[in-house]
Amino acid sequence: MSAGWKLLKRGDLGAFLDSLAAGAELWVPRRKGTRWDFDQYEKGTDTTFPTSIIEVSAKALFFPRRRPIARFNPKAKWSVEPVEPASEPRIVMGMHPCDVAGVRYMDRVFLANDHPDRLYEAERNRTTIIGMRCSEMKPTCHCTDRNLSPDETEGMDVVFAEAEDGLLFRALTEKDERLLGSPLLAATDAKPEAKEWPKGRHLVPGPDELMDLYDDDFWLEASDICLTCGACTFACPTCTCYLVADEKFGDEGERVTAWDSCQFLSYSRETSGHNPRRSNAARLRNRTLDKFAYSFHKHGMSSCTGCGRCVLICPIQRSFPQLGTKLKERVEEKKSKARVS
Amino acid sequence: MTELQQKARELLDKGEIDALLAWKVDPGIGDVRPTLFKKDDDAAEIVFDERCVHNLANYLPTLTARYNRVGVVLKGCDGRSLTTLLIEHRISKNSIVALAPACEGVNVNGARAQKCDDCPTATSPVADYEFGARLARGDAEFKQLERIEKMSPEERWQFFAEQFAKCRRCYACRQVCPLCYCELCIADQPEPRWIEPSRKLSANAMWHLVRAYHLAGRCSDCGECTRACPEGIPIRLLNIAVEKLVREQFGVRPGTKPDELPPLVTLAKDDSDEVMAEHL
Repeated sequence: MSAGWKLLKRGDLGAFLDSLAAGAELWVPRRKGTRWDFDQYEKGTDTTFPTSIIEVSAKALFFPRRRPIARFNPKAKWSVEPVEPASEPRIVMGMHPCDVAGVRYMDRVFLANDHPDRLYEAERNRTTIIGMRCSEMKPTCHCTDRNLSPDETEGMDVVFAEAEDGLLFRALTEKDERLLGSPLLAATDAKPEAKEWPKGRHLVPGPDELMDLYDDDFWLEASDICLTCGACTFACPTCTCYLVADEKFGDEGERVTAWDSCQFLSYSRETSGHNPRRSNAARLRNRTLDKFAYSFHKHGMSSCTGCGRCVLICPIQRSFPQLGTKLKERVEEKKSKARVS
Repeated sequence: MTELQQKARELLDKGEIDALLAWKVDPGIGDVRPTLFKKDDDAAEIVFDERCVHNLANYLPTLTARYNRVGVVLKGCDGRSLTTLLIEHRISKNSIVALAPACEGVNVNGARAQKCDDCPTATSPVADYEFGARLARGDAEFKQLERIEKMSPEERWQFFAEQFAKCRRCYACRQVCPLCYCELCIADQPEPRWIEPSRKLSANAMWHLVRAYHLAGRCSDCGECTRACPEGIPIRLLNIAVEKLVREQFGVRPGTKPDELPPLVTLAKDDSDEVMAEHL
């Protein structure tokens, strides 16, 4: 594994992307309306890589919003055919560390169990991630409080960063050295600028401290203004809940997975009609604890990557990380009360 | 302190209300956010300006179930939603105290909200306390519809199909809407499955059209559906197209008169037959 950086001159970016696109399906950031999203690269188009958060997470590239898993003929019996997973090589370029951390978390959810999700696995196997170091932290960014940093490279196959006269690339896995074999890239002694990143914007209590607050009044108060829409869950790079539905149209039927959200009233409704999470408070608690406690217990890492997408998307400008800060205050309050008594 | 802040403090101090729903600046995000003020909170922090876009009437059914009496600060559009909520018996007037400052319009993404062009009431029609002079408002011209009305049916479908295709089905439009309050939403009903849950054009279009129909003659045009949409779908265009028709047929702007039943739940002898006649 090479540790050296290679320089791509700014003017050569288009030619380099064209060369990548010649060998694989290439996905890059694209501005759509007021936000950045990922889109398939078209030869010869100008491409810009945002230096910080891309508002729409790359989650949907690995775990689509609507994903057919089997096809059937609704009029015939026993006609279910599983969907063949995609296998063409693919490159996703420009994902930032918080987004890549989301994929690492999804790996634990979908793959590290007795029944790996074979469609997700196929998407992972066919994809090379060319990640990008961030050159700035937006006001809503707080990855440094979630065991990450704008320089984190774990989960990436290749990393690149902004430099004065172009982009600096470095391969992180053996198999992807070849991507950087292009003559457009020249070995260099230059290194991306090292920066001190702000910390402590949105600290949260530890998983066990949080579980102690399970029956606290906090949740009721905090849920006062929550709309319980699913905007935050759909924007989140680690929210992976889905439902399964059979969709029929004439002779064609598809069994699909579709994103679901624990914030929906229908999510936890049981067949009997009973719903253990009827109140907004119960649903808010579920999501908060899932991000900061259950995820530790189940998958060994927090499912909050500190990207702040939930803050950017919330129709009432509520923010989950801020809830964390308030929870921390509540934990301290409890501790000091315990000391007094 | 403004008159509004003073009245809010007085009501909270005297215990006439148990909580007050208003706006406050959150330093963490540098923006205003709906906030529930209690007796110990500082009413001087209440903000009322062009940043106060959220429709607070939406929270009243839940909050009035928890508190005896809830105060609420309402813009003109929020007040129209409240009127309809009262008419439809979602809340009782006794459980709320309405504080109604004159609204000069709000901003969405740094520009004046489009809904403000069509606003029929700058001050809430339901008001226990009013602040500032009632601003006169002309009748809506629904100018934003012109672009759609000029299109051929094919172009129109093309336009809306493109918009609907973007929908993620996060239901922010439903949750943010004070009048979308069904206990079991048609979109959530598992059997029969009227609207398929996954993100595809046919199901997305079905969702948006059904929602528009369910709001016919009720929508107060608070514009929250459009503002809340993470995909920027101009949902409101559907609603005002329906409201324009309702106004033409029944002469009603929903929520503007506290004693007027929504036209589609009543039958009056002088109702126009025009709509029905077209289809007979």
